[in-house]
Amino acid sequence: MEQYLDYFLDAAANPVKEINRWKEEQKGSVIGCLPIYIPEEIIDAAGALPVYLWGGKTEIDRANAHLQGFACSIVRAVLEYEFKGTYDMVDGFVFPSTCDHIQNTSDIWAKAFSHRPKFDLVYPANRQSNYAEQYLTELYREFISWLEVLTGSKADDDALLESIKKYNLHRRLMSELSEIRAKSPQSLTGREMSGLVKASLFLPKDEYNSRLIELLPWLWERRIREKPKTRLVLTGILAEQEIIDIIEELGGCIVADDLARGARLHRNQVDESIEPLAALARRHLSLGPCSTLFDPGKGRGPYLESLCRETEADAVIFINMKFCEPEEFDYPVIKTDLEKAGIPLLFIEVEQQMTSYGQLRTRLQAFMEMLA
Amino acid sequence: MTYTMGVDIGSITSKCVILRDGKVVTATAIIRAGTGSDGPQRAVAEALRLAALSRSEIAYAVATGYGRVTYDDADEELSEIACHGRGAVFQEPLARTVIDIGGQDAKAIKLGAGGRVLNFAMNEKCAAGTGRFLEVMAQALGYPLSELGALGEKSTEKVSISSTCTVFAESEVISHLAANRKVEDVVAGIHESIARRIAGLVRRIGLEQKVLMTGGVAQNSGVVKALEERLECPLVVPVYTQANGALGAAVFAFAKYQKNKEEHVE
Repeated sequence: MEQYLDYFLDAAANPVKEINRWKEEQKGSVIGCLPIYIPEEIIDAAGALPVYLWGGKTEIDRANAHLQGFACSIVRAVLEYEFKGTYDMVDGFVFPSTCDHIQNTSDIWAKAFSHRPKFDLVYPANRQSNYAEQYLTELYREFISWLEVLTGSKADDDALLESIKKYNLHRRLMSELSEIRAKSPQSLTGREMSGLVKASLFLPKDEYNSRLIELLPWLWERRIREKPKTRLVLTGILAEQEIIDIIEELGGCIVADDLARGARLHRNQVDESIEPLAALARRHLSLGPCSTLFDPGKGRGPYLESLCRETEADAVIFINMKFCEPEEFDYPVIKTDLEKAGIPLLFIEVEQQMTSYGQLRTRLQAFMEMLA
Repeated sequence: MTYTMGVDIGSITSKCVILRDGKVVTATAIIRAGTGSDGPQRAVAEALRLAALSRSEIAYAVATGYGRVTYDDADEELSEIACHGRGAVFQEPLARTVIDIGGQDAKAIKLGAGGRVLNFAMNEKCAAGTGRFLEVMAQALGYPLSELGALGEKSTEKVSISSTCTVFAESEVISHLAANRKVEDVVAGIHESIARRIAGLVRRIGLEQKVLMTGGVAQNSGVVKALEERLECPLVVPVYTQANGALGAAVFAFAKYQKNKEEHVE
């Protein structure tokens, strides 16, 4: 079984190689998706491979001419990768209306890479409006037409339903993986968990699912480390490997997360009994809580509180991606909610291209000493 | 007699404190060379010389500060947050808030009984409002760092420095000077801008008296005064300002030594 785990970890370390391998074997189109909440089912049903673009650790050079240093480091890295040719295997890009940085990067993209096909997925801001579902269903129809031009194949209802089933299974398996981490943290390291999540962002789902199904029962039984001293929940956009490593070095363990590149991707299922596009729209409209989605009830604090209770977590770490406005506006609300609930909360700030972790280590260590 | 030692390795300076029986400060040494230099070794050697002790007579040593992880001559390492808390209550038992401004870090720490850390906040994004900020400003003005405090006190019409960024604030300072504003008024404005930033940090954890101010910047009376006005409460600047973290580490070291001894007896 160890080699099954290695399959995921190797893939996670070599996304470009894996995506090229798929492209060569399937002769299909690769669709690059900016974060977050892309209806991957539609792309899959059109016979293309959806690949999430979450930036990465690359030295920012040419992107500096388009996006200033005080812009989100994820979109800066995405822009840089396109300049460097890293995304050459990508045939089309999807820009959702997640935040100002992504929307404006889409405008920059249109000028800087005008030859590259691009679709703007402008979500309905008010998800509670009666017209939201109708609007989103229509938007998805436009998306299908755009994909058809690009890939030459149309996602019909039968193909959509099949993809929906595949992704529902995927989300269920990823939820079980999260459950293992919470109930049996001795089963896998933070590094392994990150690798599994990262591989899920670009591997074809049927392949991913069939291997994960084999792996899960083994993971439940696996014991590779001691019971953790401090149980933590991470919230934010994403957690770089270095941070997870420092937390574990200090005797902590992540038992659950509310990360955009993490558990937020696998919440809510798509109804398989109704018209596929309407079902996909309804899933999006029922998602939450997330800083990038309209949420007048401000449910993230209470959500984190119940997540801590369910997973017997001692504290929450808020990992703020520098200059992420949606997250920064959420923070004070969460802070007040968790203070009331008596749950300790640490705020740390990161950038994707960080090279020095000394000050972060101090904050994390002081927090762990405080909890001890 | 039991001697314990605390070594605080900062970004700019290294501090060492030797403590007798967890109660009496025997020696302190501050060397202006921080992590990545021979500063820590020199601080330890200097403190040992002042205490007339050899390294083998130190029962337990705790390292803290930015360079604690790579320093290998200590029995244990602890974060500077915990050490500043412990040092603060050693110097002022009623301390409930510590404001520490070092070379690259500014921290506000909320304390419970015995110096236990209840909460803390640190500067984010950049070094504005830290010791390094003051150094850059002193350089731009052409005055030694140590004279800024006294200079600012002569101000009659404080200028406003609005930039939070060190680089932009520097050019703001230069343009104020170019506009013939008095140096002392500009200095007072610099102190005020630090106070504004630090006060925000303190409010994030909630102010509770008594408030201790430590770290190199606490030696600047102008910043202390500006901060007292902002926070509307007096600040206590303790005897061991810069060495507070090392002192806390030495206090921890004594507690650890005693705990180990008890475990041996059992």
